Amino acid sequence: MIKGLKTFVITIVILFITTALFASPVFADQNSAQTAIISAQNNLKTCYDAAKQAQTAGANVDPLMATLNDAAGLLSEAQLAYASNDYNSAYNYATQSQSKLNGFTSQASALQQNAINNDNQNFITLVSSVIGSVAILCVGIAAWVTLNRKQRKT
Amino acid sequence: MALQQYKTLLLVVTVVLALFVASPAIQQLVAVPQTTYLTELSLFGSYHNATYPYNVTVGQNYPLYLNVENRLGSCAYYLIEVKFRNQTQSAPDSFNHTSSDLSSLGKISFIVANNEAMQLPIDISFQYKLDGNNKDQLDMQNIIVNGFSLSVSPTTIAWDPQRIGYYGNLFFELWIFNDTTNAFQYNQRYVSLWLNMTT
Repeated sequence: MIKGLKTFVITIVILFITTALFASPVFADQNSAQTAIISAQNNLKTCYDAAKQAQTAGANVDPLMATLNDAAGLLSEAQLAYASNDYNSAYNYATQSQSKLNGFTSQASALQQNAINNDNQNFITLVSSVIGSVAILCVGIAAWVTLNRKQRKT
Repeated sequence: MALQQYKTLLLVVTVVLALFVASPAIQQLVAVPQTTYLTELSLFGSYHNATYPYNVTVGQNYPLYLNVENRLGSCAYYLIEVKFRNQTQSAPDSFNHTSSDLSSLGKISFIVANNEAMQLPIDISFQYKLDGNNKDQLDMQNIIVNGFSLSVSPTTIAWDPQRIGYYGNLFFELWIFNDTTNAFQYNQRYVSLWLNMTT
């Protein structure tokens, strides 16, 4: 009976320690909050640059804007929380902001590549249309000259 | 006579067909390029119009809406700096295009796509009290922006005998991210509200 109670108490203690170790909330200090915010800012800048490059290449970046703004909103919350000395919230928001942008640059690169491919196709269409119209004009003028000669002979 | 008619028809058909085939190229030439590049910044009151708060009280929440419209030709990364000053502190200058020297209370980041507008809801409330030793002076304590309490201490506001009240100026400066310098720069735009801090 006593042995069983001892085992029960030990199990409870182990459970308590495990919970305390792994389920405790993150308590961030000023430095870690500041580092997280700077990191989130840099991440956002990188992703913004990627989106802008994709847009310059002619990609439709509307789907990327929503993700970027979600991350920017969380960064704003982090900055406001930091300014109000709530370093714990600041750290959490900054970390969430970074998580939002996971895989963003590869998504932007894919859109950029698609836009470049479309651009190449457009260029081929453009050149083809110019060549085609010049050819039609040449054939038309040649036919007109031929008809003119026939008219003179008659 | 019949041949003459064919000649005219041939010319018309040739030109129409050539124009039709060349239409993708013509489309590129005809497209009018954007000539004005700017960002619009405006502020709205709680009813999404120009009804702004004027007489404010301690702890009362005042919803405001900042509207930013991007007409720069590409997406842009903006920053709003929330600032508060009394009548003598540094203000942004519309003529010299300079921002206020005061440090910002809080920053709000956002990105706006080209030819799109973004409306940012900002809930503001104020905490202040009359100076215990000097009744002609109001001591500002905190400004609560979107639920975050930001300290404005030790800003004080002197009694304005002409306008009869303690007047504080809440303003929002627009900053834009510059890809070349990799830093934010003042976009020479701000909106501000003069508020009568009632006691």
